[in-house]
Amino acid sequence: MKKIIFATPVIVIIAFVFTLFVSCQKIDTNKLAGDWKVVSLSRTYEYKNQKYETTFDGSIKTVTHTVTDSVISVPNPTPHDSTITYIKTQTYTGEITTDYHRKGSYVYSETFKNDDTGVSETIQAEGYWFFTDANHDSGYGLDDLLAMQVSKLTYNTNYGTIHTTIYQGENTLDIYEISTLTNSKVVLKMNKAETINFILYVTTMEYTLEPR
Amino acid sequence: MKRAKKYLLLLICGILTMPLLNSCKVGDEDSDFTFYTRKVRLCQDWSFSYYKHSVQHNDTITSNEYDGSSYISVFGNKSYVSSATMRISFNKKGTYTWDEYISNDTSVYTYKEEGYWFFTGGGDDSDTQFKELLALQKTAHTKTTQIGGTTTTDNYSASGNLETTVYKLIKLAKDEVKMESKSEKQYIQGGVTVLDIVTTVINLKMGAK
Repeated sequence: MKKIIFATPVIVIIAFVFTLFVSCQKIDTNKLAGDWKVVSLSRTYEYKNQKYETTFDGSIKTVTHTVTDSVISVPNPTPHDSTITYIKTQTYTGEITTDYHRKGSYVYSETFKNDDTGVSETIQAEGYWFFTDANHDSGYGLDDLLAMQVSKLTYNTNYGTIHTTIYQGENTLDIYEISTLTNSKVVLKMNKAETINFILYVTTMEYTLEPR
Repeated sequence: MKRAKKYLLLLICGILTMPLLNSCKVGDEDSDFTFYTRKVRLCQDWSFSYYKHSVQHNDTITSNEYDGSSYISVFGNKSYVSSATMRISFNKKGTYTWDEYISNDTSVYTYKEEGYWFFTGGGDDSDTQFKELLALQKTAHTKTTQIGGTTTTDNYSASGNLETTVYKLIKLAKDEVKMESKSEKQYIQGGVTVLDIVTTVINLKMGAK
């Protein structure tokens, strides 16, 4: 009987300490850390009659802008409506890299040269990355989403123009779904649809990272 | 002697537990100890006891401030006072609802926002702990403004991996929440340095009905 009386507070303390471990759990932030390069990327952005498509295979980036006008009256020989589609395609050569540091910061770099004009563009973003906690209704668990918070964004071209924007504080987070996360491959997705005053804007994006 | 050993053991257990209690403190004004998880503390129906949202563009500031009953909008040297209620509810399954009702002699404004909430943060470089940041991912809003006999409505609905707004949780208690978001953006436009500062302070108290 005495043993039971003595064991009770010990069990209570052990259980208490265990719950503290659970409630204070920290996620493993080392999973994503590393220096990565983008080996493939596919992105589309659509609204109304406009569509922007970007593909990247690790060195060549192709950007296509498509505009579809669907109400063109053609009088002869029989009056009818027609559709005209404008397509503009540009190609670039370059690379995209992201270095996720173990302590929670990252550096994103994008360097491309327009194959037609020869103009070079560099985009560099610095910021912080986080995993988000689980959310039952959205269907995502711990570590399923990657949140990226930019703190500095620099854009420059070989024309000598440099645009730098510095962010400080709790600004917005860009959210990516982590589709694959291994030591040799990371696949991130960002799919979203927004209806703003009855106009639908749709973005789909998927890119694959491999170690540099 | 045996009894002394037992008490010594209990004392050691207690001492071992103390650093764990402190490690649970996340926000600056969080209590050192609570039995409630951060999720349990957040997921309730709240009334706003204070709210301030200000936007500064260089030297020009516009702001909206709410003290629990009055809503004051300031544009330059003009201010407008309305009566208002502001509430927010966080659901344990991960959704939230934000409601505003603001009225005065000439207009009525209603706002309803819905979305998902996430705890996030962490990492030495960001100077935040995991679950110190609260991310609100808006999936819908409806704004309605009635002025005279005219009603205008603004609708937004969305799904997927949407951009989120993020707040730093200063205090997360069972009966009070304090959070704020301050973001500065500095850039050069036409050879001139531009500074934009957006600040939001939210204090919540129990008791939304």
